[in-house]
Amino acid sequence: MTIPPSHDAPASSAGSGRSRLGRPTPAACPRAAGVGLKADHYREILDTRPAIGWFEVHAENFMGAGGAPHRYLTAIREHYPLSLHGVGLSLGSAGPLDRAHAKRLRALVDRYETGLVSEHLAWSRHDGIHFNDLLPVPLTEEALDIVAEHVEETQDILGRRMLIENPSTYVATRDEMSETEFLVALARRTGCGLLVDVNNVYVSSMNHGRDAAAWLDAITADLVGEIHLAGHAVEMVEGEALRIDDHGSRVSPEVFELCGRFLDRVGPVPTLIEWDSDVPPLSVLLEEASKADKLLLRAQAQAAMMGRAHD
Amino acid sequence: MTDARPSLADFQARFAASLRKPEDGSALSLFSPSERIPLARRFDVYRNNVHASLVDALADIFPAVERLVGRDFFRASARLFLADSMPSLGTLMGFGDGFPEFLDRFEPAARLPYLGDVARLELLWLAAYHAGEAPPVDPGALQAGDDPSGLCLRFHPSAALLSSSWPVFQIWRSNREDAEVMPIDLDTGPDFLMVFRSGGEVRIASLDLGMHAFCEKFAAGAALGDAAEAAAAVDTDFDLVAAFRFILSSGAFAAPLSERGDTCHVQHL
Repeated sequence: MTIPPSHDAPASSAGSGRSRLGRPTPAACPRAAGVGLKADHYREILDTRPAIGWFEVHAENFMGAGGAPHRYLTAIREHYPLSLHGVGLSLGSAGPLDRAHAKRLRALVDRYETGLVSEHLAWSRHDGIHFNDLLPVPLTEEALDIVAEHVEETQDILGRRMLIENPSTYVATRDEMSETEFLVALARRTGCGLLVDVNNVYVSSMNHGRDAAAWLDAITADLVGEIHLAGHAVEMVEGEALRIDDHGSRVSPEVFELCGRFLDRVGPVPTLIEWDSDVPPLSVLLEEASKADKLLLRAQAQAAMMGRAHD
Repeated sequence: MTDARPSLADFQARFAASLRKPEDGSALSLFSPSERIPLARRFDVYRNNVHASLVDALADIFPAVERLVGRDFFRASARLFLADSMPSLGTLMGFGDGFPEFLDRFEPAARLPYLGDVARLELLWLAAYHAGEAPPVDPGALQAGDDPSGLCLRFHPSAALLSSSWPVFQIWRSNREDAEVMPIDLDTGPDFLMVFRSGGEVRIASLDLGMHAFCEKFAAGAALGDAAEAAAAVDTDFDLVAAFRFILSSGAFAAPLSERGDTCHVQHL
């Protein structure tokens, strides 16, 4: 039995990415396209160093103590800014905030000096069970109070502003306000920013017969910290289309169109291509990202032309 | 606010209860009526997302088990497992821990008696993949002339032992790595295995009986001399030199941390 000697070494605890030239890679995610980081692409990214503005990771994938995930992320952080996207905090749970989970987020923010931190307007935990899905929050005054308290508590633990993402929904909860009213009030009250998932806006709007463009019109530029773009599936139910947010295909033309118009109004912001099921080769994600970059450049030109400063 | 609108806590209790029961439509009254698509079909999206994502998570943890039983069998048994074993943490840490025992007791899988042990090996593989870091043993720690019998070391945080009556390593390896699964002689067990991470990669070492006894004793905190004695008791051919080579070169052992933070090398008895 021959087993090569171990090369284990503690992963660097230094948060600031530092390239081999010794220049730290900035923490801030640029107002450019980024892509979701998938384990299948780690090696290729390190070998080829694609020209992409930043990567986003699902925080929960890096909550283990050590091993390959941290080694790769440390190496990738040396060359790219990172955004930390949580999917398991359950800010919308009626029960108390999972402070231990929020502290795990904080540890990752510190370790990797992430440029952005985000979570969802959703719940996934009830009575000690984690349902592993982003479940809908009824848009009521009571829920707004609870979510705002959880966002404030999380921001206190993180020591910084976070972004909250609008979910895709399949049922209409019995609401007291619109989703944009809820999100804007949440942002005004807690100081959090918004992660506008344009695909989710489109999916929810189509599923509930609402106007996606009107949803986007209700969000002011100062609140937008990031944009998400992803593909969705269309399921036919009794002859009617139900759109399912599965992050398993290219961004639909309708979503790119909505995103372009939104960016033209709010100016360029970090814009992510997400792809989480049936993950394609990295080159496909980069192609999608270059489409987003074109929209961002157009928005930048537009902003410059109108003499508006977004930087 | 209408009287009929439930509190957030009540909304979530009813939503959660219906998620877990396929025929339970009681959550549907929580939502606004739907014109085109029946509410039940809309709610099913959440039910499917929850269960499919968790079954997928189990399939990611147990790919060899899935290949052994086939996709449909795996997904059906995973759904049954979920009935009593939903995850408790948003990190999914610890999720799947009871799956080997579930498979041991799962009657439809009785013709594959090694299935539970394959699942155990896959859990150890995952634990090793995510385990914390520690500096490996420094081969220079053993100076010529030192009496090594009191050497104190510890397992690397990723290292764990598994013994099985079945040739579980071959079964696991072929089902994880081979394009076509190799025929495996089930009489070639038992297996004594050590799972650990070395150079960032998870490795599985097949140990002989003496080495297994040695490592088991060692894992329980015994000094090297005592572990060697235990090994020699079960295996008269136990080769201490080979055991040393394994300790120093495998990466499965780490230098222990002293209170001062430096490493303990050789303790003379």
